[in-house]
Amino acid sequence: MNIKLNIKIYTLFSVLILALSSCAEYLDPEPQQDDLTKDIVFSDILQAEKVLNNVYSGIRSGLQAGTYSYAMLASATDEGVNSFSWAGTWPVTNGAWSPTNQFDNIWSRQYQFIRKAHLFLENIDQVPGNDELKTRMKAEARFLRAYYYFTLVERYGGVPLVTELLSLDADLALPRNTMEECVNFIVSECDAVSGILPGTYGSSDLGRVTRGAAMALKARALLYFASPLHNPSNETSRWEAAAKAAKDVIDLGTYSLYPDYQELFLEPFNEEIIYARVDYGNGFFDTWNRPSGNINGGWGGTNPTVNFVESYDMENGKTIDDPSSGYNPEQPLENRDPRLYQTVVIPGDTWFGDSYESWDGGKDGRTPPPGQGKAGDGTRTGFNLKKYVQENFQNNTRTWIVFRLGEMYLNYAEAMNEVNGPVAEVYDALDMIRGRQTVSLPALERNLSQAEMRERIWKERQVELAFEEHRWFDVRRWKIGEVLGGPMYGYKMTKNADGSLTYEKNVFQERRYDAPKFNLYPIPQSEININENLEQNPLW
Amino acid sequence: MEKFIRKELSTALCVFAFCMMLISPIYASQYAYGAVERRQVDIAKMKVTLRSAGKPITQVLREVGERTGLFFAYEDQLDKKISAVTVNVDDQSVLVLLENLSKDYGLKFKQVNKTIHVSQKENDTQEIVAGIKVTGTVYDDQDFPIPGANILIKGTSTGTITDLDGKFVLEDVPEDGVLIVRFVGFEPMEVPVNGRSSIEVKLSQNTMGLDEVVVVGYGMQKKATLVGAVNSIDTKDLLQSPTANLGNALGGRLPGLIVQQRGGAPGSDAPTIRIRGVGTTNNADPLVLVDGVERPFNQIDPNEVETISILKDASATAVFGVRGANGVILITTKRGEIGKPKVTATFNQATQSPTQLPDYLDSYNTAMLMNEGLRNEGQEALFSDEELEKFRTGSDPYLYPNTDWYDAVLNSSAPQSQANIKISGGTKTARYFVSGSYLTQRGLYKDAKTPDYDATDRFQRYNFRSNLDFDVTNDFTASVNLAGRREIRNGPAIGLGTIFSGMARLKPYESSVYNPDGSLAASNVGANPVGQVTQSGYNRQYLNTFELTVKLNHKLDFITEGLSARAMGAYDNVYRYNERWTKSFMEVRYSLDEDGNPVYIPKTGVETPLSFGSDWDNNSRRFYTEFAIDYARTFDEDHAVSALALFNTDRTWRNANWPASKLGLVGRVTYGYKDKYLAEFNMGYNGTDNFAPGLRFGFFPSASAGWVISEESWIKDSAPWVSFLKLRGSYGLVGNSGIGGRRWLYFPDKYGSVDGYPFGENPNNTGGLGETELGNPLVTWEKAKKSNIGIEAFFYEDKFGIVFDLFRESRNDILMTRRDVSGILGQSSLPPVNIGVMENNGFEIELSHRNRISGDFGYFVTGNMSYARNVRSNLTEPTPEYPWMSEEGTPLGQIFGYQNLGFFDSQEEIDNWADQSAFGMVLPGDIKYKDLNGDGIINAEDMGPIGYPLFPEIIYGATVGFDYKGFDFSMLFQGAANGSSYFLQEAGWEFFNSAKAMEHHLGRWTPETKDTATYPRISSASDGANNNFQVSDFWLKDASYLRLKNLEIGYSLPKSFLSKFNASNCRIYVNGTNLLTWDDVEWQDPEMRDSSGSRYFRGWQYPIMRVFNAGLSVTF
Repeated sequence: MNIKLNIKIYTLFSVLILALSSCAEYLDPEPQQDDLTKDIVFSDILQAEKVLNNVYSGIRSGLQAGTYSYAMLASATDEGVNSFSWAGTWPVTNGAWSPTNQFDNIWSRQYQFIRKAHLFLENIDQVPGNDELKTRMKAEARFLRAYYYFTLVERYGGVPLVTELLSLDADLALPRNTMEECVNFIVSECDAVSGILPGTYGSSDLGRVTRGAAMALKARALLYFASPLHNPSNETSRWEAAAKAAKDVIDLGTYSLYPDYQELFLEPFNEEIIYARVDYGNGFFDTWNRPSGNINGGWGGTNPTVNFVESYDMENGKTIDDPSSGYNPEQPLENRDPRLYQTVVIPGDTWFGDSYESWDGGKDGRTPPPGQGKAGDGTRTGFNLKKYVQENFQNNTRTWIVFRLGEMYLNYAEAMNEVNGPVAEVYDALDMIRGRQTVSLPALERNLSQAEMRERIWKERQVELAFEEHRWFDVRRWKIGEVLGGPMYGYKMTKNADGSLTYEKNVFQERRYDAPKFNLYPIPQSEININENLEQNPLW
Repeated sequence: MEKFIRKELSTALCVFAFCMMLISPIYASQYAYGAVERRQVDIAKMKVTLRSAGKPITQVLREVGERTGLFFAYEDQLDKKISAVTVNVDDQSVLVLLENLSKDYGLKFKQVNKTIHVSQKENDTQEIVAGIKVTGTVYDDQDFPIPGANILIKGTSTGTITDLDGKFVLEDVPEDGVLIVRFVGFEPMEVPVNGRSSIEVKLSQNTMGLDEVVVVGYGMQKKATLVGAVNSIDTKDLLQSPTANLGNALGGRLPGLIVQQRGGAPGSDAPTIRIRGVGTTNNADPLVLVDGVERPFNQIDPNEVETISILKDASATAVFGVRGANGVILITTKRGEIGKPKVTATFNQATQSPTQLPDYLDSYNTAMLMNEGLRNEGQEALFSDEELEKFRTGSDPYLYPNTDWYDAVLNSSAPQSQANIKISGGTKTARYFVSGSYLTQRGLYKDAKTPDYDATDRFQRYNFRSNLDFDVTNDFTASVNLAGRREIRNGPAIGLGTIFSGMARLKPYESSVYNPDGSLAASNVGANPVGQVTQSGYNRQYLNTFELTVKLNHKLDFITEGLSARAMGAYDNVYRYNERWTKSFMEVRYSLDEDGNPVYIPKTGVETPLSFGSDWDNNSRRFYTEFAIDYARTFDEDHAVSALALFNTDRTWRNANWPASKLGLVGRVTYGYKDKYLAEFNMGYNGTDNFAPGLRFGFFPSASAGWVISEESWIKDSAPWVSFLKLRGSYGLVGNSGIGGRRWLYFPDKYGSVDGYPFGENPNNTGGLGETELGNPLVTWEKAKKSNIGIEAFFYEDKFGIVFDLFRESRNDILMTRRDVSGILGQSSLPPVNIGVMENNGFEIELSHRNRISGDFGYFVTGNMSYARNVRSNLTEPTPEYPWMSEEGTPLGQIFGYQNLGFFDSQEEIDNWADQSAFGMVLPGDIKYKDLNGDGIINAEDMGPIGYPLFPEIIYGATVGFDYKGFDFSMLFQGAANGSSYFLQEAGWEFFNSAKAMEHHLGRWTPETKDTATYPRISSASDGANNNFQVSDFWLKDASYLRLKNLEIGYSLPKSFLSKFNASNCRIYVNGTNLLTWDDVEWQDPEMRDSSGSRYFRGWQYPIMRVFNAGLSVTF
């Protein structure tokens, strides 16, 4: 090759390389005009509000399909069972729950919402003006962070307490804080924000956290902290603090008991509700819980157990084991606490415009005749859920209650009984609940010992707060989690020639509740594997 | 049994191949090389430089031919007579050279156009005088006349060549003489005259064809001197598969190419294709270029395709830079050749039927198993004996139905027809290839035509292509390719997943299809699939594709010899429009009241009119340009040098998104010394807009070398039976920027729309903002270091061949999300980082034997096998409790599950075994799992790797074929091994989610059948057998299979007959695809997977089709 040729080739290559470099902007993506960055978001109060909305979205509605993989949390307890064995609560009830087989795995999720709160808190001051609004919003975010911590500690006990934004390269191998440190943080945050948060909001802001919500969170946190699981030496001062906190909410006077027990769960933001998440357009919940043989089609989701149904008193206020109660084991569903009929669909009910037939061979039963009902998905217990279900099938607004006054009365009664025994305030609180207009049970006979009163309160909570995600935490903090294990009963109902039903209690499931191991959740094994300083809960 | 047959068959194949090698007579025929042109040339003016000593005469002549373009014709025995020729000429005229040779070696040369016939002088005296006049025609294997073919009377130097129409005339041929017919690129053939005066000769292509050129990245290379790992297939083989989808015609044809068809829905049956296995955890699809531009290829009509090449190693793929790491598929379409217009019309009519359908049980058996399941779990039976009897006898088909939903919804077969007409030809200055075709493929659903609409499932495709080439001047050529495609997919408004899941779920006894009054029957379990097919409205998708390519090429010999420049521009447009007319329909429940009168209760839905909906998506435009300088020249006879520099731009607009752009620079330098020592350097330097400025461009070099040992004189002397032997090796770096997911990962942390929260009495979601995607400013492409060693060997005039390739690929910088970041951070969408590593190693082997016994009979046997295994590492996986739980070091798609140890035979056995109760009820007959960690509890800690990954590690194919007179026959076996199918839910379990029961459930465990049971105890509902449904190797089936993938028998009508109709060729044929399958899966076709392509199979998929086809092809 001669030099001339080399020059020519060099020239050609130079031209090509020049062409390439001059084309480099060919690869520049158009600046993404609608791309938002942190600085853009926190320059405008309207955008910042949306960040706060996202912090709120960590509050879950127990009615949503995604919350516990198609089950309600109640199905993990003796309140009920989900008819579908692949629903999210089954791994607990069959004992498969483990650090690697998680149920209700909210560890990472709640830390994500805590991070969101931190992002908001650390940047909101950048937004110009609107000082009053910003102050309130900061209080809301602090409440939410405290609430998310509470949802962690009620499950895991003490968790690593992160109170500022962590960067990607931060040391993330944090150890767990104690339960006490966590509860103290939650309580101090509640105290700090309850002075700032408004007592009520205008109609378009319903659903924002109020002073009452902060005080209710504090009351529940203190009650849990005083309970046997976290208070092994039974320090009375903790019960005192819990009682006072609950009383403070009641004394606010902002809330009153809603007269109709069944409607309480269907009427949004009624006067009893301290804090609730709007659950709207969720027709799924109704379809999911509609009996499987219903004319409108249904999935038969949550099936209340006989264990639960038996916890209801008689209409006359007496417990069913009281020989004078008039309880007829042949016809166990007659003349019971009216709340039973407002909570559970029982045979003979007309429900969703169709008769409810859960007996053997009935269309809503476990093994309906071919062509009728979804064989295999019918009720396992003879019952379907009524509470929270909208029979009128409108898919419209409902509120999932996080805190309500009824709970505060029960919290107060429980704490007071532990401090002072069954004093009048305790009976009064229980009678308030039992005297609700559509319930109207007679006042309790005031003759109970402290221990008897404790059992009474436990049972009252079981009935009053059923399917509201209390039972699961209550029995564990009371350290009586064993009641979630063992035989779970349903009724095998036989339809007689005269149309009457014969009830036979049968075990539909032997549950495994591994107490005391199950009293605290296992920290996900994946997190333990990553963070060597993270100590697993006992026995897991 | 199947296993046995498979084994026997493969053994038989091997033995057959081996025998053929042993018994086949060895022909030492020779043929000359060189291009053929029909121009009279003046050999006196032709200059040649040649130095050689002691070479056989034929090689000297061949070298002269190669340098001059002349074509030398000589007889076989010439070498034996003149085996050592010495030539030493420098820029000498060919005439003088030949005169010298004539003088020195007693040779006689006779020039006919560019062909020079060589004979020995002493033979002159022995010329046979008496003989007959023979006329004849020479055809190629596609029955096109071959102009310029060489005819020689055996044992003489008398010969001729064919004219433009392939015809020849020879005088004085001995009646018992033999004609030797030769043409470059074809097997030489000896034709006994047997007194005939008219002879038709059909040459078959020398498919080994080391002279042939192969399409490589941005160019063509001679196969003999190729140093990269490249395979190719041509149109003839493709057309043997009567599949609508071109991709499905590739299975088993090429070593290193993995083609797995996952379903058979008309128009949506494209296979998943991998080259040399899987090298990345991200997108592993190979790059596909059609005529040099990235384009979809599955719906191209095979009639338009000239060749398909696959590029496998770094040498072949480095030029594609960041796009080449997954291998490259190059499709080249046909072009016109000089000649009279050639019109070929083809018509194919096929019938398709499923290779296999799931075996669902009838009502009687389903009900019987349901009863048994209930009793197993301590519940009462659902059906009485009388009811079972009614199911068995079918005495009451409406109240005790026995509905076969597959039968109710699907026809057993569906037709498919295809017609193609193509015209090609041209002159010196303009050549054309024009092809148009129409395909209609009917689906299996029964007719769904109503007066209002047609919901029949059908795929229609119109293909059009026009490829034009113009020689504008002697130095300047221009080509224009215009291709269009219209695809129409029609079907019910409800998607096939829903329909097939309904067919998988509805128990035969749930309902009949129709009620006695003709209304659609309702059941509570799900919608009536027949209603969904016929009464849900229809969905029609139109997809139009337009592809324009313009290429210009200019020789720049005036600058320096061998230099040329080319430019290419392409514009593609894809437009998809979907119209969906939906309606709801009514289902009625039929029952009898107490008096036995029929009662009809409308159950679900109401009849509504059609409502319209439409969408546009997948619309795209692409604009591609390319500028290149080519250089190719041979210096001092022995030093062949070539170089390429190329620049390209590629921009695609997809829907309303910001276009994706790529820029690239390609370089290639090759050097060959005497075609013996070869070296090549390739590089790609390209950039994509997916990466940050400053990090956009990557440099991907590769170096390769080859040694053609058979060109060495010592091997020529010592082992003349070695016709070709080459060693080659390559090493290089290739990239993969197709990392999937979102684009512009380097952008700064983004805020975006996330969950909001409902506030207010009349709530609406107020909208939320939050961190969405965290950016990684350093994000870059994956890097693949590929090495390859290959050997190509051919023996006895290429009759036997073996090609072996060993490859190793190490991919690093695989983009993935770290898994070792604590959840306490609170960020769920961590930015992807380039950390993953994957090793992918394997080998390929290809064996071939082809032989022509006589003019009338030739045969071939070929086989190929590929093996590839990948291993992942650097997964940032936190150390699990037990080593077997780790994904580190396992292949992509590895399933982790329990090892089944058979069934528990008694309660005692359950009690003495590790605790499995976490899965629920455990009864005798349930699956027993291995306690890997020995802690007495079966849980996640006992789940280890089971089975093989998603793609089979071994893929093999074998073809056998022969032709005899007008008949031709070929068949292709294709198989896979080291693969697994995982069955679950409706596809494997009994009564899952109220679904039905299958044939294999009859093999259930019962106390009586415990010794022979093949399936665990029956359960009435999913949760009753939760223990059995855990992920375990019980549900994992060995997906090895062997298929008779293709078979073709054809017959070409005699020319003498055809000439009456002015036709030059007419062939009738029958062929088929997926004709027979041997496998151990039993429950389903071994290739089937869910449409998501996951390794799990749930059974909601359209079956894969077996196709029988008959066709006719006529050329005028």
